[in-house]
Amino acid sequence: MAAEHAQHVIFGLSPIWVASILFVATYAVIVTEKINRAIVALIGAGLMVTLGVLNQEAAIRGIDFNTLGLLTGMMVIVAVSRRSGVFQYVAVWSAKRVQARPWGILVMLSLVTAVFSALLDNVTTVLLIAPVTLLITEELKISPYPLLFAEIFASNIGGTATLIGDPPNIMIGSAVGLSFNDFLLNLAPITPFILAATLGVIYLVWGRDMHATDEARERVMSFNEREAITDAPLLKQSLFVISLVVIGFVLAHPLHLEPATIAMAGAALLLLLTSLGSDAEEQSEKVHKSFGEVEWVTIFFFVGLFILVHGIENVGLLEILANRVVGLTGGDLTLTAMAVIWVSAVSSAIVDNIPFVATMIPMIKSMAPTFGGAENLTPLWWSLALGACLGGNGSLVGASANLIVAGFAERAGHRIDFLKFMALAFPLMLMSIVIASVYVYFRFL
Amino acid sequence: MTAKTIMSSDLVTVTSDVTVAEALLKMSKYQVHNIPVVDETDSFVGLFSLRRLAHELLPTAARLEAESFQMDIAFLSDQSDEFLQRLQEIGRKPVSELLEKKKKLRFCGPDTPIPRLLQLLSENPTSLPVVVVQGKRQKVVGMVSTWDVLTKIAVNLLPGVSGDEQGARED
Repeated sequence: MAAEHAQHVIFGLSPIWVASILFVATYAVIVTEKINRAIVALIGAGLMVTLGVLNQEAAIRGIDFNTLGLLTGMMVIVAVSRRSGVFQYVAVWSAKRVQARPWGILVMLSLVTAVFSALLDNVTTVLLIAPVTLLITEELKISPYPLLFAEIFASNIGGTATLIGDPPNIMIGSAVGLSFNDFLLNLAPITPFILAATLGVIYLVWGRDMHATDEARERVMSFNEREAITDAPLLKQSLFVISLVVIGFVLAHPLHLEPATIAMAGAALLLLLTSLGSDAEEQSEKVHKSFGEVEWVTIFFFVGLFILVHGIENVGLLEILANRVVGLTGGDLTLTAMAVIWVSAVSSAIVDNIPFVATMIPMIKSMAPTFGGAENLTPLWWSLALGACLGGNGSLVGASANLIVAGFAERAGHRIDFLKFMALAFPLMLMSIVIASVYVYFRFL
Repeated sequence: MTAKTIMSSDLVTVTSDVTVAEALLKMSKYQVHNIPVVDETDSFVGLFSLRRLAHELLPTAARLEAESFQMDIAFLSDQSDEFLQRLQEIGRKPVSELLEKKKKLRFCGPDTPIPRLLQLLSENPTSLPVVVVQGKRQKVVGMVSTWDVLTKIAVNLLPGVSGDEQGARED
């Protein structure tokens, strides 16, 4: 480790100061959201190397390619499969199962959103569910706000449940070596309770006053969900590959495979299946389009962040901070876990949870000696995951999925007011953290 | 040959205060797909098109596009009553509220050469005509559509076809 960073003094400052200033300055610019976050992170990372805090080799070693591979693989799978119309099919189908009653639709669409968010990424889920929601509420002549509100919560709660549901989980799982099954057994069980409690409050606030005329409901009932399937062969191929990938995640650990391998292999298989029978030009067009839909901004943002965090980790800053935290909590595991979950929740509501989690991971790792070894840190990892994922519900800027929903609502003429959203969302988020804290306390401490 | 040679200069225009209903009546009377909206000095304000009308008749949620991804709405049933209702609502709006987005439009001058004009026509994603404007004040002097290219250039050059078979033009 010691050989990785330059020992010499830079601009009259020691490496620890240069790294800290760079890190804080980069995060400050990211928070202002004036410049695209990927650009900011990459410039910060570039300076870490050019100013000599890290050499290039060390910088690349800091990048977690398992996280990047898993994200990219899943993004390709989603980019291909979403063209089949399966999201619209399921949304319309579920609305009709409850005779198009407004409250029933709210519950059904929340469940659909939660399940899709757990298995695929949140952003794609809401990107495809929100327009159908707006269409259905337009036909029912009811306000879309309660449904969109519930879907935002459902996407973040659903995402908490699995390794692949939300970027913080992917990062934690990858850095700590927690498997898909670990997440399924330890985090998933509490999510239905949190979702139920959230829907309960939403019912008390809006649910009792949601009415649609019989005529309007009849219009929704006349939707033909089968027509939503735009490409039946693609649907079959997508469902086949997604099932294989999920099975792969479950079996990955015993087979000593990393999640990125599973996701990338799944992506390649799906691209192969969809390209069979096409000529060379058509194939290259399809593959190009699918790769083009990968959110490269997010991927490069991760690259920059990993390097930045590796920089401050390397100069020993994170260890100093970790010792401070341990000092404040007196080395008590319960107190530390509670501090992690609440601080994560509140900060994730205000700022992007990805840079927060990227910083917290090495910090928590360096607490291992205090708590008697890495294996005793498990409650802290679950606290971090729960806090960071659920905290995203606290405000419109808490998670990218929230912003996507707000964007749709605004263009459809139903602007979601930042403060009005927060007035209910923040307390509801705190409620979910109370439930999560109780769960962490009794299950892991 | 330049834009001036083949453009339609006998334009039907409306001012921005007329309603969509009035504009549509005028368009149907003169059989045009697109109508330039101008101010009192004939300067270009915008373009109202039947393409935009078709778009506006969709339910709001079906008009949202995200990241080049548009929702497929084949599952919607026939909704002629709502369609009529939306048409009536739209008809009352001033035409200035439903102009084509600036980025969908292509402009040229009367002296623009044909190759550049063909490029503008072929890159325009919605097959709207190219608007020919003149001077600083963007005075509308004509419009060129692919139809103009066909009827005024191509037809005369095609082997074995005489120019007088040109039918009623539309644009």
